[in-house]
Amino acid sequence: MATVARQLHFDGANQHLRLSAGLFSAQRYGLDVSWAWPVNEWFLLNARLGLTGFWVMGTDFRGSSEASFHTDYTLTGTVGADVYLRPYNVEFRLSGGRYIAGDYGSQLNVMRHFRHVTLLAFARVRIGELEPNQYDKQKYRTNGGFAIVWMLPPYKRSSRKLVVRPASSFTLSHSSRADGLSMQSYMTDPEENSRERLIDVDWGLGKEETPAN
Amino acid sequence: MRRRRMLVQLAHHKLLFLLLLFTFVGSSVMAQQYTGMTGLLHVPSAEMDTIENLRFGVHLLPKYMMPDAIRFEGEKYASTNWYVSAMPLKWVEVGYSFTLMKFHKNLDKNSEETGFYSKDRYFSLRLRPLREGRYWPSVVIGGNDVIGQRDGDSYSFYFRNFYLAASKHVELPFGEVGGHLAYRYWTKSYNKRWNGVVGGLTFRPSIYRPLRFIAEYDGNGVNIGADCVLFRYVQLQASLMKCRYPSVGGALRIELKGRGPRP
Repeated sequence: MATVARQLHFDGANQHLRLSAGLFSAQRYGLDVSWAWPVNEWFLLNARLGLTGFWVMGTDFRGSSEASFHTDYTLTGTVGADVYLRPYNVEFRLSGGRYIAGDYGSQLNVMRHFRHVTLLAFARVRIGELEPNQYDKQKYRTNGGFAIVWMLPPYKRSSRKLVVRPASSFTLSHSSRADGLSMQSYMTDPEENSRERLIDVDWGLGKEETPAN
Repeated sequence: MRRRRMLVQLAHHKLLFLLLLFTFVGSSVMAQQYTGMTGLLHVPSAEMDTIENLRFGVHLLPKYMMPDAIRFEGEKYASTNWYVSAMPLKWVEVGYSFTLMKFHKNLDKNSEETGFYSKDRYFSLRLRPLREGRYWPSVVIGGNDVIGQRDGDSYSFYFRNFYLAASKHVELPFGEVGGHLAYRYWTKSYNKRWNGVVGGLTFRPSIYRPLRFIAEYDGNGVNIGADCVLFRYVQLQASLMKCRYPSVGGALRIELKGRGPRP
């Protein structure tokens, strides 16, 4: 993954954007725009739009390498609404849209946040025509599972311009249906995880790291 | 001669159970059933842990605890159950478990190599609508194997069951005694021996609170056992199912600290 990203914060209108470009995860490359609008302290709207193509790069022990960037781009996008129940640190995230394989679906995440851990349960429903599962050739409209997101130390954010550090989180996830190509999306940041928000918004959980004094 | 050999084996099993039992030291927490959910040994209860937590564990399942439909070449076998369970809120508990299953390697019946090459996965859920009070018991509604990969497939939902449980504890001078009662329904006919009213008694001695003795009736026999927590993080349980078949399990227990208010 190699990306460049820029966040734009329009504090007057309370609108927040993140623009990304480069080589994303899930073998996608292209452009991505994320948007967030904290309507109030417990409700937030968000959306994401991406124009990506397939890419692959490989090398072998004989020293030869090959890279391929396909130009059949796919337009993907989701819209979502988040609700944060502060007294209980419980968050609901509902989103839906178009995904990498051109399929449509909706997902609900129910999350319970602890100091450095988030327990997440998700439920998905696919909309429209179904493609057979790549493993057992069955067609599944629903799916569900869980994830445990651990934030890893150090929890202080460095003020240096160049920071070299290990991964900030570890996620253990399980899906009841083995169907990795269904409702697949990509990540634009190696630090992206299901607990934190991609855009730095002063809402809900916020970022795990606190700025160094 | 054969009877003498069986008696010697039974004595060895009981000795192993007692050895495991008396090496326990720890703190007072709730036991884990073999599914990773709070309960007794093979019987559910309405107890909940005192703090939100995460548990990773494994439990040995003797042949007695395995559903009759799980066989390899016509024979039942003992296996292990591995689980991840969590209590995100004080009134809900969820768990993911898988039981190792014997098959030929690569599921190729012509292969001579056999072992635990497959597993049955399932989710468990418990909800507590009523917390224990001074005069009333706690009540829990729960189920194991509540959703699965192959809906309607006869080769799935091996451990599926639903239950309604109630628990009440009484503090006595010599310790805490708990009474647990549940009605359980197993959906598969080969598990019906565990259907109906089940229950058990637990006892925590005053002189040693971390230890909990358990005696229960699971619908098909009486099971006895005990559990404890070592150093607050390692949870152990040992039991004799039907007072004959040993079963042990252990889990790593991680308490989840709450998130403080944002500045």
